Amino acid sequence: MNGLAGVYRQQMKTSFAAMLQYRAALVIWLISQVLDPVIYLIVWTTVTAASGGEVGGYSRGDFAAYFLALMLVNNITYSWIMHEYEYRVREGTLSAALLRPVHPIHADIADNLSSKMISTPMMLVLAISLGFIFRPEIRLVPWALAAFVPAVALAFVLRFLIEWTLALAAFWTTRVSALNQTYYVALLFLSGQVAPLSLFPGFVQAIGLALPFRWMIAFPLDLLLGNLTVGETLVGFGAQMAWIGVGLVLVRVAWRAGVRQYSAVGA
Amino acid sequence: MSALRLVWTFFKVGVMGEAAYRVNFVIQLFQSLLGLVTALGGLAVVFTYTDTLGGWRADEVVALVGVYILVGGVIGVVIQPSMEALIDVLARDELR
Repeated sequence: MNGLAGVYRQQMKTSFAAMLQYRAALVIWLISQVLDPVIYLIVWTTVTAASGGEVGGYSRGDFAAYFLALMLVNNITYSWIMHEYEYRVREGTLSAALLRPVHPIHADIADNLSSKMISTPMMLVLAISLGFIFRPEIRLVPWALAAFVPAVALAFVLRFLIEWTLALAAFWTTRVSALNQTYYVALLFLSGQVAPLSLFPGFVQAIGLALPFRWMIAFPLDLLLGNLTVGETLVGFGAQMAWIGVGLVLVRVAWRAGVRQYSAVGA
Repeated sequence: MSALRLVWTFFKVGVMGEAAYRVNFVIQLFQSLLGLVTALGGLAVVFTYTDTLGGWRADEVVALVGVYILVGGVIGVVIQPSMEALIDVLARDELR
C-alpha cells in the first residue's frame, strides 16, 4: 500500500507540473464549465419572473443556489478521460502505461485529483462571485452538509468508474465521439444539469432513478441544498454504493477484454 | 479567376475526402440528430412551465434554434475544417 501512495505522490507532482504549463487552457476550461449553468440559470430566472415568482416549488433565489452549487458538484465529479482514451489507443501511448507495474487507472485518478486541487478552489471563488450577481437563497442544514462530503466523494468515484469504463470503448472503435456524445446528453438531462430533476415529467424521473446519472450529480447537489429527507439520503447512498459495485465489475471486465483486443491489433 | 479555381479544387478534394469515410458520415448524422434532440428537449422542459420566454413563444424559439443550427452548419462546412487543419499544421510545424 505504501508503494501505491508513492505512485500517487509522484503522478500528482507530474500532473501539477504539466498543468502549470497550460495555464490558459485551465482558464478557458473553467469558463466553459461556468457558461452552461449560467445560461440555464438565466433561462429559469426568466421563467420564474414570468410565472409569478415560483416554478415547481423553486423561487428565483432557489434556482440561483441550485445552479451555482451545480458548478461546484460538476467540477468535483468531472473527468475528461473519455476524450483522452481514443488518442492513447490510436497513437499507441497506452503501450508505455501498460509497462508500468501498477494498473493505469491509478495514474488517471491521481491526475484527476491534482487537477481538482487547483480547479475546485477557483470554481468556489467563481461561484461565490456569481452569487453577488444572482443572489442565491441558501438554507444550510447541518447534518445534510456533513452528509454531502461523503456523497460527493462517492459521486466522484461512481462517475469516474463509469466514464473510465466507457473510455475503454476506444479499444474496439476509433470513433468514440458518438458514444461520448450520447453519454453526455443522457448525463445532461438525467443528472439535473438542465433543470432540477423534480421539474421533469414523471416518466423521465422514473428512468432517472434507475440509472446512475442522478447519483453522480443531482443527489449530492440536493443534499448540499438541504432538499432531501433522511430517508431519501439513505436511499441515495445505497444507490451510489450499488452503482459503484457495478462500476468496479465493469472496469475489471472491460479492461481485461480491452487489453486483449489491444495486443491483438499489435499496437 | 485562379483564386476561384483554387477554391473549387479544394472543395472537390474535401468532398472526395469525406466520401471516403461513409460510416463517419452516418455517425456525424447521428450526432447532429442528438444535438437537435438536446436543444429541443431542453426547450420542452422550459416550456412546460411557461408560454413565453422573454417575450418569445415556443414556436419562435424553435425557429431560432433552426436558424442557429443552419448557420452552425454553414460554418462547419466552410470555415471550421480549414481552421482546425491550420491549427494542426502550425502545431506540427508543417507550414514552412
